[in-house]
Amino acid sequence: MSNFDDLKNAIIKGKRDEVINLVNELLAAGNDVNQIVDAGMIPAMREIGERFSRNEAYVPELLIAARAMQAGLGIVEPLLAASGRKSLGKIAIGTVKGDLHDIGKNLVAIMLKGAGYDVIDLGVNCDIAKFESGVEQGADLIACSALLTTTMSYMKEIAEHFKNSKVKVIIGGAPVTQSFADEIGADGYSDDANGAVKLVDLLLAKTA
Amino acid sequence: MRIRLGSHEMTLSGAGENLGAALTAVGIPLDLRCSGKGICNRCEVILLAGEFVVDGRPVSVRETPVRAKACRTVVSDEAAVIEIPRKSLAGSNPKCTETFETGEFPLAPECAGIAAIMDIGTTTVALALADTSTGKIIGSTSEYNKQFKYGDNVVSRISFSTERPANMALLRRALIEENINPMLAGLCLAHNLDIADIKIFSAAGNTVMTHILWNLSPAGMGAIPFKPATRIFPELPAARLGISAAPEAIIKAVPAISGFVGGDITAGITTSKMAGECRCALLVDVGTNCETVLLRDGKFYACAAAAGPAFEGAGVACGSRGEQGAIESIKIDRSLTIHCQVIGGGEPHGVCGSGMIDFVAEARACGLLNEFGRFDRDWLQRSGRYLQLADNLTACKLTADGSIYLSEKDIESILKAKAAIFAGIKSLTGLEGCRVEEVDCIYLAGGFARYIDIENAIRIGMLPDIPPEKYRKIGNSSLAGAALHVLNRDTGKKYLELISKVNDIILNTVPEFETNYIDALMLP
Repeated sequence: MSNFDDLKNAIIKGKRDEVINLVNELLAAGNDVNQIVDAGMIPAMREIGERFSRNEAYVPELLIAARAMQAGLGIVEPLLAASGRKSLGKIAIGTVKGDLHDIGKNLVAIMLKGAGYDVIDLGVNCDIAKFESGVEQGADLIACSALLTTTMSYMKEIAEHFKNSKVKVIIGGAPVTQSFADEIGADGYSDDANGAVKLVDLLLAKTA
Repeated sequence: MRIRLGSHEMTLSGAGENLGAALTAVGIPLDLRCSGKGICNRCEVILLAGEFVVDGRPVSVRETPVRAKACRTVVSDEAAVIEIPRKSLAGSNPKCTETFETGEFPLAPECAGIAAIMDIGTTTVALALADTSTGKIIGSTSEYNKQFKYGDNVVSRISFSTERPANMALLRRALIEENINPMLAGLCLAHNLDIADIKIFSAAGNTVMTHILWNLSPAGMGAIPFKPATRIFPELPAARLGISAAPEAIIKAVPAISGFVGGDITAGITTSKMAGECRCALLVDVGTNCETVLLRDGKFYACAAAAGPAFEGAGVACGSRGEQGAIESIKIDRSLTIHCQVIGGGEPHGVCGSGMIDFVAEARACGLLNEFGRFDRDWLQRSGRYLQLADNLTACKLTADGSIYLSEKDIESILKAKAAIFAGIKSLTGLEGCRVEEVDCIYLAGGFARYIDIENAIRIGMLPDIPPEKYRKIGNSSLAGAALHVLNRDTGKKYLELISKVNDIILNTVPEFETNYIDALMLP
């Protein structure tokens, strides 16, 4: 008989197939989908994120756990929407114009989902209009990623575009730094995926 | 201010100036690989005494020394004392990257006299002189690419080239006046030749470097669709590019396959003779940008994977390039005795890429590292190898005093680099449904590949698990291809045919790439 702790552990250990089986078993046993997410899945991502920030887990473990989480979310997401669940906030995330590297962006997206946020994944090569479409879908915050020093300059245009709106803009990616974020007037920057979740917690709590 | 460098001490004026700039101005070759942006931490110096401004904040050093990035430090008083650790200097002599083989070919030079052949890489520049009448190599030399101070990878160089209109000239001056011309002069002097004896020049390199040499903007390769200005570089008088050469001497370049797969790879495919020898083969140029070519039933596919500079020593706390004083090979026995072999003998100052691969392979084999690259901390403690760094970071001492170590954060960087290489190979072969058992031969190109232990690279999941005898190290095939270009006049035509045949694959558009990468992050 499976329980929520088994699910949590399977996600932390990155066991994708086991996660799929456990989620299906829990659903078949009549558990509420919200409970599966709140008691099994979200605590798993919170815990791996905490371990990461304490230097007890590293990017490989985070990515493997995130992939297992994604497999579980794939099953429950349609049911969650139907259950009328209220999220902590809506985030539109994308890799900026000119860039198509998305592994880092995908990780942040899953970590945010795993923390209880509603995430609109805009994909790669996103221009301002694409981010605007995220705002039209109700995003409170825009998260921009760039892996290339050649494409990160576009973040400045994004930050300027949304400067006088209610929407917050956060940035990240290998070449991006806090001082770059300050320079272009972004609302926040994080060095890693777990920091991004904490940053969003902070920024959206302030606006709420 | 007083500067200590090993046993030397010198006095320098320059209070109020950026320390990185002040040291560079007097010729101290500080490692400013992120072009002084404060990202890479390679130019770390030790502030021993005095007043400083670090990252915009005043820092007063009395008794406890403070470590700071030179590029983010301003010295405020003339009495300051600063120590520069050896590892913060950019080396000047890369470990030999000039060895190459062209295989057999009919000697049919385009012109008589001496040919200068060069391999222009992002990290190193290699140059050789050949006698076109005999096909023999007269001499060769290599150096680190002097553009390093403007960025340590192709993307940062592209970005630098577009920041200001004058920057392209700075990049060209570094490459031509600081690398190529002095190297040519030195080789001529050593072999009793005159610059005017060089009748023809031939270059091969990645597409970005070749653009810069030809004075073409690399900007198009910086973002989607990553398009080069050209793949075929026109023959020109070498002097017109600023190379010290006789007026009639021309220069040619090996044509490129795409923005991220350059003429060096065109050269590698040709000089490895993979198409003649195998039905199914791979060519892997192991570097910061790891290019991979798959040949299967006469069809070619090529991609580039961003492995990053971990194997060149960046992003690894005690990392080093493969130069004098670097640990190049490591053996670990069951009692956790660590045997290190140092290039040139003596005390090590860091670990280079081949040493990192050995360490991870050996530590995993004896159970010191788990599949995620995490240490067995208890075992480290019991054996006296344990080192706890700031922020709860666990590290393993490589030297008894713990001055050289590898931490879990460093292992993470190594895992990311090897995963990119393996995922590139797997995604490329996966496209064609090719199984790794089908591969007849894997050709390993490049200077770094020469020094890696292939069995260890297989054990850490960096290279495919096929019998080691199916691997072939081919050395600097870029230089070989540049040589062939001038020693056999039919080669140019073959290059043009080849580049029109290779399918360029953008890895991030291959759906399996992400999951291949995540799988490859773990240790087998």
